[in-house]
Amino acid sequence: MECIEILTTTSTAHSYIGKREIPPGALTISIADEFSKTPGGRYRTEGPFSGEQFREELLLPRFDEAVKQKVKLYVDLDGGYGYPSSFLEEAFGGLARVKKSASLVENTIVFNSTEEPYLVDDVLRYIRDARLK
Amino acid sequence: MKKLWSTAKAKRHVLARQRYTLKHRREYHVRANRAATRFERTRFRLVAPESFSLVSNPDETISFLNRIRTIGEQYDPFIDLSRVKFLSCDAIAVLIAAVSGQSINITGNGPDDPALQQMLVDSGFYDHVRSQTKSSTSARGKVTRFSKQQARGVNGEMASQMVDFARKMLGRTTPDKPTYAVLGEIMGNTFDHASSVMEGQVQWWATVYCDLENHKACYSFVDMGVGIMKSKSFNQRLHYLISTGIRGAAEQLRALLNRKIPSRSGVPYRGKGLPWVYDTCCAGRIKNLAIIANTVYSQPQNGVYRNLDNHFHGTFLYWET
Repeated sequence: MECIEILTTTSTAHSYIGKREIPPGALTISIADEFSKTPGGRYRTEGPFSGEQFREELLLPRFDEAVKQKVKLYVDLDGGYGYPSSFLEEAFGGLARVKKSASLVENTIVFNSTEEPYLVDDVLRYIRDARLK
Repeated sequence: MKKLWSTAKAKRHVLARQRYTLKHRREYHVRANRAATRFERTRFRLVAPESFSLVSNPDETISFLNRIRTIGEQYDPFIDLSRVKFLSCDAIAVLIAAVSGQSINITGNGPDDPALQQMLVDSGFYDHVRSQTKSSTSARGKVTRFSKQQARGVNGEMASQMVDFARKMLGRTTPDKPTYAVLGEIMGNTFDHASSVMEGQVQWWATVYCDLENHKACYSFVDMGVGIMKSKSFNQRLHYLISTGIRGAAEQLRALLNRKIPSRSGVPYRGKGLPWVYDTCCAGRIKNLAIIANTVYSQPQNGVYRNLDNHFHGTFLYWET
């Protein structure tokens, strides 16, 4: 089941996220299409579609697969209603904390946001500032 | 044959019956008179300030809102809006939060000024009170009540409905993403600040009003709970503020928004909800942010932080896009 899911999100030749061309074989996540157009808060206790839920159910398995295959994971932030900062921090900063490596996360994930370009810098800051423990 | 009603037994029965009827008829009238007197006696007229706006006239408006609460403990308040000369959409948000869901009988009237009355009708206010006046079908505003069940974290569905409403009214093609993010952040923050006692006991209110002439959407969020400055999580950090010489609620809010207060949990990436909302305002993604929390009034982008004369029971945020 997991294999099928990953296969369906593997890019083919000449596919794009926004204006960015995705190399063949790379993995992708579109948060709006695959998770929710209305993302929630930080933790599951704060309601549905939380950053914690996204990280555990979607981001982490696909990130692990990307690391295993030594390919990039393209994350598309466009298409939804917007992102509370705590959602993004818990998802991507939380991933850096789980993996105990900000550089691994930063070097594996490529973010795209044509609708809110500033989000890319915000997310990269959350990863760098994750204060690994 | 002797007639039945003329027997001693029959006479006693008729007499008893008459006494019983008379007694109950008297009691009915006494009760009715008492109820009528009570209604007249306990109605208390509360006149709203001429400038009815939480953002531009916070002290008088909060004083008026507090009087609804205190008067309501003894009397049935009659809210008189007839003399209002200036009405802002943020005041409508807090008024509906103050009058709705109360166990007391609150009545009232609308502004005499037809333009202000139309604004009240268009705001969606009448969707949440019993009235012969109904909200207009072409309403410019939407009032959203988050029930006690819905006020338990970030409710993206309801936030998206508000953003969609403004998008359609203003004819925009894409939803206002910064506002969705701010609404989500405030909900999470408010939920986080609610004390364990108040958790699940408080309603939230959010309003959007579209100013079509100036092509802007005005948003308000009201939490009639404990308020940030009185919240347990904030007070846990107070010892740090006092040790660094930051005293007074206004200066404490300034320190909070400027990220000068460490997280209470010691986790550096948490406790940044309100500072992030302030950053969003500084970046120009939302405009004219105003925050009222307990005894503090702030327009942070203008550097305005001041203590209020009256205590606002909860937290209020206002912004425009």
